[in-house]
Amino acid sequence: MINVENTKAQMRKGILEYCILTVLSKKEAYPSDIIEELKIAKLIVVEGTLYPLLTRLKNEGLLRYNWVESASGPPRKYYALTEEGINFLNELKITWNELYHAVQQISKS
Amino acid sequence: MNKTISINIGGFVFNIEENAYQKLYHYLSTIKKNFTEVEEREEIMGDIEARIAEIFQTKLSAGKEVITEKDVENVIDIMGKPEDYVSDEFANSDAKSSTQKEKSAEQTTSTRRLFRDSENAMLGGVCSGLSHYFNIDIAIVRTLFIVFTILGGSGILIYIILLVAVPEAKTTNDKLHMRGQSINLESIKEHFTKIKDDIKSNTKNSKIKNAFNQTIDKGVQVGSTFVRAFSKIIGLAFVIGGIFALVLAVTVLFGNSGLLPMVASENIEDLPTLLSLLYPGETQSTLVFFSMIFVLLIPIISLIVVGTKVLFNYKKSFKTIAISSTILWFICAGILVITGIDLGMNMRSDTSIEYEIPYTDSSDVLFIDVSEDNKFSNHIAFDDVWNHSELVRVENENIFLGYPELVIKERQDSGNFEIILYKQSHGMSNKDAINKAERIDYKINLTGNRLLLPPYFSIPKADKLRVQRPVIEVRVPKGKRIELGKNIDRIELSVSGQHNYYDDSFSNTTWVVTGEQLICLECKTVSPLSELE
Repeated sequence: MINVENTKAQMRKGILEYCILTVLSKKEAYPSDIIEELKIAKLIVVEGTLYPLLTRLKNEGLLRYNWVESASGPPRKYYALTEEGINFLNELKITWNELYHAVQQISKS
Repeated sequence: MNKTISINIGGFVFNIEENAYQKLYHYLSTIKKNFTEVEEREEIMGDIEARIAEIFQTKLSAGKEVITEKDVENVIDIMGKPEDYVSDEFANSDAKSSTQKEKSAEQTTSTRRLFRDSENAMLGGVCSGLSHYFNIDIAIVRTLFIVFTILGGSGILIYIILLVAVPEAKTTNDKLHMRGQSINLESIKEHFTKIKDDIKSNTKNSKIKNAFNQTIDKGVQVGSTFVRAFSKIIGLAFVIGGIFALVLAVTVLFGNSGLLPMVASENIEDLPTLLSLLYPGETQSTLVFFSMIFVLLIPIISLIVVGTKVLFNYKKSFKTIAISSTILWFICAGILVITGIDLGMNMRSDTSIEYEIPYTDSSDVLFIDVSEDNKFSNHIAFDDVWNHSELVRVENENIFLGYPELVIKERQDSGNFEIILYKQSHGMSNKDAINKAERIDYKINLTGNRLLLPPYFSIPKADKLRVQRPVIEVRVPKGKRIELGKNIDRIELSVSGQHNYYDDSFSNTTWVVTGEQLICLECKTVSPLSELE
């Protein structure tokens, strides 16, 4: 018997990367800001998931970050897309649209 | 009043209550375990600590100077539980070094692990877990266990071993590993990863270097896959061999010998009884029986456990159990050796007593047959070879054994038939052996020229098994003949000088002394030439 919650979590994880890149394509952002956006879309609820993901995307050269001084605590990392990240996101967009339409099509018929 | 501790997170100093500190420390160290690669782990942990420092800052104000347990709980709510920091999902996109590649290959191949599934459990979830692991229907697994349980009870043993050796799937992560990755968006993710890899290899200009690296990676991957596959085969062989040995050992030890007709006949007592008939004392035989159980089962179970570990990538070690069972094995083996020596002393001397059976009949023929009775011989099939150790039964303080032997010899003169009964036995001393031989009860029935031999004999139970056996020797004079009856094969028969008859059965045959030799008139011989003689 497959647990519904597990399935949902898996689905979210699959498209999380895509959504993070999309958020960052609009503007530079600090992890908490990204969380806020993703929370609205009910994609993610806790920040913990985000940190390892951002570090990996950065290490792969898709993201870069700037240190910004903060009034209330340690300096913050503001993330943005690199050139490579933009290309990558564009590829993903095409794939996502294909998948989206495919799912729509299948659901209809 | 609470004790506070001063800590440094993300370069900021906080005063924190002791129990809150404990909680935070535990939280951070659990998260840390999620990340395997050192460099990456340091960076991620740094980011997390910085964020925690920031949250703590907002908690403190003019009226509040100490971080409480509630604040830590709040941080955990915001940041998520340790298992939310899933790490291995995106790891396989890195291709920095061959070791990393290898590691990720291992991660992808071992995504499915064996767990006990307590949600769908009937007992401990072992069957359900196995059905997930092998992706087969749970009913098949349960049926197999029941079949193995009926075949000597080994199913229960294997179940207990797995119950102890296999962990229960507790966290969501465990459950996902147990079922393998779910079908849903797995394909999408793979798709994304592939695109990412493609772009990366395009943007990097050092294509040759890349290709070279990839070749090495491939080689390492293939090599490790091969080694893994090979070790799986070994593991599987261990498990299967172990299970067979277990079935056999359990059958021999706990006596369902009727289930394995090739091992023993149903007319033999079970092993504990046999041992009590052999060893001098009850305590000794009980000790020997339990020693045998451990000496046999410890290596077999170790084999199955090792095989299971290799087969299912299961890493937990049982050091204490392994060491103590090794010691136990040696103790038991020692007991077997010492009791074995003692038993040897009890069999040190052997003797044979000769009794001449008076024979007065003057006809030319002596009929010899094995008598029928209602005790044992009428319950066996006609073509059963009923010799040697195929009968060991205890009844009324007597042991019944199927071991008598009939020896037929020729006489060089022309007197009458001679019938001699030898009673043989071993014993602690010559006197002991003689006493034991004398107590062999073998009831020969001789009426006229008809000799009826029982297919079994008996000894008192108190005498123990000391290789007692009666031997009947019949000496045939020249010119006279012997006719063997239809049941003659139920005892051991040997004819002097005759090793060249092909027949399995000597029932209803006639023997005469021709020249110097006893000749069978009806038997098939080795070659037609010797038949002409």
